[in-house]
Amino acid sequence: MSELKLNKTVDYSGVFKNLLAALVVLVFGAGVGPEAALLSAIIALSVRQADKLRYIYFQFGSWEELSFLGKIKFILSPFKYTQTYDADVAPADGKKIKMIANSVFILNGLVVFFTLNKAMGHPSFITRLGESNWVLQNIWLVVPALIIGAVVGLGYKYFSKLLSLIIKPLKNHQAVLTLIGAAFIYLFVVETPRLLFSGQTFMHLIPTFGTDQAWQTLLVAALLKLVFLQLCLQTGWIGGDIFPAIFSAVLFGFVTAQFFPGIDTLFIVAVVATSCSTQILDSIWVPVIFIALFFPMNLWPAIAVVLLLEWIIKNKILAPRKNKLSQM
Amino acid sequence: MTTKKSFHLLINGLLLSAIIALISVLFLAVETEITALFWEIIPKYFARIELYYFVLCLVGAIILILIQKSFGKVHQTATRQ
Repeated sequence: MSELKLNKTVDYSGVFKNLLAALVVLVFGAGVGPEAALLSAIIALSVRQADKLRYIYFQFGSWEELSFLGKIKFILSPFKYTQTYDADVAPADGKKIKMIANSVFILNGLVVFFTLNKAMGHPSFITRLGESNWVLQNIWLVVPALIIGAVVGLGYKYFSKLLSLIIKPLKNHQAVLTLIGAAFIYLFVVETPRLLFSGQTFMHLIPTFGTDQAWQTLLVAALLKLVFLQLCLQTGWIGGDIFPAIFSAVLFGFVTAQFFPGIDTLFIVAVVATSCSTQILDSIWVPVIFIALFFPMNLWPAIAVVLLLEWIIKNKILAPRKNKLSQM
Repeated sequence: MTTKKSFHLLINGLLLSAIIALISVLFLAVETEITALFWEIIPKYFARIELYYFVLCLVGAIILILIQKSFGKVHQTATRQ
């Protein structure tokens, strides 16, 4: 992303290399998600699209002279015929048209994506976890949810730091690290095959799994998932951390729910999962988009309350204190 | 901007964004299919499943090492700020 801001374009020749590398990591069982590679590819390709359209806009004469075949070549040729953004020549009145055009193209991309995905018969990314009949009296549960999230997030950060300290001597031996990662993947295959991959394929089984199993089992699964994620990421099996983190966060939710048998299970899962995933990923907006899709709409207000409190704690209570400390 | 020019831009934009979506779908489809092949279909034919998994992990590691060697620093993932 910083590359984009600096050069006004990105080196899109890496797109397919990146996708290939991601594919290897994903199909050989690493506990990471496909979303990071996909997102970076989409960003790079969108920039390419913008560069191409800009070329047509500014070199309209030479574009018109191209034959039909030439035009097809233009569209398909990955890296030729592009013009990067330059504020000096950009038309001043173009902003509004640009915005409309951009939304049309994004919409078009999404429509094509979902149509093709349906046509291929692939299950969608997102599975709803069930229904909820939560009542407002139980909203106090966001407090324990916030505490659990903070503890989990802190533990995750410390484990990540510890692990990077352990592997530091091997930083220059990437091949050894990759092999160590593979050894851990093997270990996880043999011991706990369900924790492999990013977790999104297993997501639809969680509601039954989460209520049938003892809380100890769920807790171990949630913790191991995070450990596995860090092991993969730090040994070179790089991928997305959003899906695995959400998977783990939802498991933490089911663990918590077993301690409050009288209260709507999915409500507890939603607030705990929101708090945990935002703390693990250290971001509010990214996990929420995914989290919200897993839960029925009547739980969204509860999720929003968790986020609001988290935002207040982070920006109004913790941030001023940090500033004071640094001023001293 | 002439109508003709906007029309050209529109058609091209639609085509280009459709290509992006196509690549995304293909990526996910290939990932799902190969994963199923490696972890569900092939294992059925092996009696010593641990041995198969061991070889699979080893092969995966070797391929990944080769990719890391030839591409240099791979994986510019879109890092969240």
